[in-house]
Amino acid sequence: MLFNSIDFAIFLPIVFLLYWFATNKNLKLQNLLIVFASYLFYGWWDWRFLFLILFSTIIDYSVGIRLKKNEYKSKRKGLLWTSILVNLGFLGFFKYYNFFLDSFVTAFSFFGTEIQLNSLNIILPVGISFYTFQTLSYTIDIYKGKLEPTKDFIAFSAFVSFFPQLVAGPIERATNLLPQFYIKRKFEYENISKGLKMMLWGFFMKLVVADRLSLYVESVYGNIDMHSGISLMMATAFFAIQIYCDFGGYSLIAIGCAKLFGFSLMQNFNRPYLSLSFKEFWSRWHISLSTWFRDYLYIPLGGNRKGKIRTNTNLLVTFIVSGLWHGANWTFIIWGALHGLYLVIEKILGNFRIPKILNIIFIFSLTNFAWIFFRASSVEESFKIIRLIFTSSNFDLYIGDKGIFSFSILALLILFINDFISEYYPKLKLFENKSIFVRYLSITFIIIYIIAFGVFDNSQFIYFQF
Amino acid sequence: MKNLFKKILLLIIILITIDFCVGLILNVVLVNSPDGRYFKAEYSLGRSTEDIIVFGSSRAETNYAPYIFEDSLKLTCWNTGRGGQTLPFWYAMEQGILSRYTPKIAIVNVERDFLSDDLSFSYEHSGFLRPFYYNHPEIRTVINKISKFERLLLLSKTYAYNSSFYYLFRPYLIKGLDGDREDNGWKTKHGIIQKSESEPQKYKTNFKLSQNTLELFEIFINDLTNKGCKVYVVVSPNYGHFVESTATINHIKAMKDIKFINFSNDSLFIRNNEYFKDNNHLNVNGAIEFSKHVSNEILKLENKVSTLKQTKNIVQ
Repeated sequence: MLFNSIDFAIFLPIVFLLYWFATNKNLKLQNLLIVFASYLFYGWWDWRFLFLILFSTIIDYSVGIRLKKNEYKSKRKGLLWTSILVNLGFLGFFKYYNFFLDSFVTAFSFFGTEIQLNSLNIILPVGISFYTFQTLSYTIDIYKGKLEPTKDFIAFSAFVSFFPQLVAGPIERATNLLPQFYIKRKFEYENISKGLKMMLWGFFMKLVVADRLSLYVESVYGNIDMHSGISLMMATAFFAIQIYCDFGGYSLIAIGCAKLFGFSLMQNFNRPYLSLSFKEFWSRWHISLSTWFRDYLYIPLGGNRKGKIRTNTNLLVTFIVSGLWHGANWTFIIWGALHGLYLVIEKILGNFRIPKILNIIFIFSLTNFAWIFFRASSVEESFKIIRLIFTSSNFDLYIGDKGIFSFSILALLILFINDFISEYYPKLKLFENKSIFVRYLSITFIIIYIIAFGVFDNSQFIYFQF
Repeated sequence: MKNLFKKILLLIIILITIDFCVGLILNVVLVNSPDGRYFKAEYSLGRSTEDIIVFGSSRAETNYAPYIFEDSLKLTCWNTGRGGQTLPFWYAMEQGILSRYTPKIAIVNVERDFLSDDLSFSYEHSGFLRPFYYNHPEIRTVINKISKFERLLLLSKTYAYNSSFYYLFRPYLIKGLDGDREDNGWKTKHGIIQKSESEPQKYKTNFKLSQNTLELFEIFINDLTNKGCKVYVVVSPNYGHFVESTATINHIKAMKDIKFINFSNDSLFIRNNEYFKDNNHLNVNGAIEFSKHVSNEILKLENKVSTLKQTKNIVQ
């Protein structure tokens, strides 16, 4: 089920009312309702893949309990690897099987040996990368002694499948989310009001900004030969905003939606394009994933504890794996490697004293350069785009449909004003303003704006494919 | 809990009120549109009374000059063609017109393979018609097919104008960008395509016809012919292409109750870059010449005397 669908608009109030009116006196029943609603939410897309979630849940639940009971190091290690192999096995098969197979065949043909291997027609289960990482964090944390395993299977199932963040995060840690299923949730007006406001802004980001910009990006990236370097540059910058609003919007809706049920999820985006360095960018962009990789890959690899060369290598490896997590394509690996490289160079060179605005533009530009690889369909296409941007003598800017273009610019302007105010003048935030008049006016304006300028074609969120 | 529901209720009341007022204002903007695409659609659906009606997409809009048909056939003419739109839009225009009167002649400009195109994407484009949802109930069947929840979404008066604002307000600031009002729906294109040195390419396909497109096209034609309107289905020329055959053209040729005029292989046009703005659209001179030839063909099919000496030059 998509957040930007009528199905969800019907589903959410029903679950909300059942949650607070029918099951509010019994915690177990409330958790059971969450499990049922989450499975319905996921099954709406494809019920067959519910078995994967269920299987993952059973395995990690059992491994968690056994880890607690077992004191032998080798047995504990074995249990941990069972969880890792099962979870990553599913992920590897569904997401990477064809990629590794194709890369294998290409590598052999490069050395002159032709081998015949047939790729499989595999459907990628939505959200598998997200819930796999979430459940993995549970078993790893128990293994490390940071977390007590749960004996409450319903609570654990609800933690794994919690519908607001099931398909595209934020990737929650068991240490933060799981305990919230053990305690009775209170109906708090402030919390729910805040959640609704977050959802509203999330919908604005998705329907008004991301989906509107995608129309332009699609028409340029869909036919790169027909466009000038300047149009490709514009489309890349638009894509940067599109993916921020698409995924940032999703995250806000997810966090807001969780608040409606009394849960608190971690912040996933924090105005990343106002960053002054790449280190700062990665503390503002997809925070739940970058901290996951920091805690479960970068630090176990040695982090920054084993000298400069090892630190930089660890950074590069972490970002290459992060690129691969995003998709089974060399374009994502290069995107990850570029960001790793940016961080390494930043570490080596240190900070320069340049005006703040130039600094922001510089970081944004390099981020855009990396987005070319992320958005292009192949490595060859990425290089072609870069060549066109830097060498094209055609300076005609493609506008396309003037209506779409002008609405895109208008939406960008509103987004920029909001992010600017939130970053530098948080007291002026319109939705949280002291004046009831300003609050109602801004909320009404955004709702009417979404109705008038939103794109209502049930388009998927970009990160669903990861 | 009470506090939440009270505030949500208040917000809903405010929203309904604003939505209603915005819809009301936008409706005034729509019906008073001085020219442009919304004026044209509004006129086609609600006010046109012409004897000859041209239906089609961008090639209908640019290739058919109503005043030529008026001069040669001595009947009034209006061009409902709209760029980027296909059969569902023509059908909506037809329903708006037939709900008020029956034109004497309908000229339907079709593309050489259009019966093979699936309709689902075309309905999305019909979102252009949303602002007419309330004033023209006869076209609701088309709009309701844009998405499964369209009816529900259209409870909002503002949603009916979703994404229409640029083209809705533009004519108030700049006139004539979608064709001059006195040109009766004709959108002139200026400029000439670069001359091609090679011979026109042969175009021959045998794509499977789309069942849902075929069904809607038959309904579209039958609705006109059942009311006594004469229907001429025309294929316009493309520069540098001559169409040998397509499943669509073969199907239309075999249709009863309509008359088929095929210019897709007329050498006067397909070899003459002076008549084209781009490969698919005639420029103003090409459109005038083409309209003369189409009206000449209609006169011949009506067994009336033609004033035009030139007849079709078929490429073999």
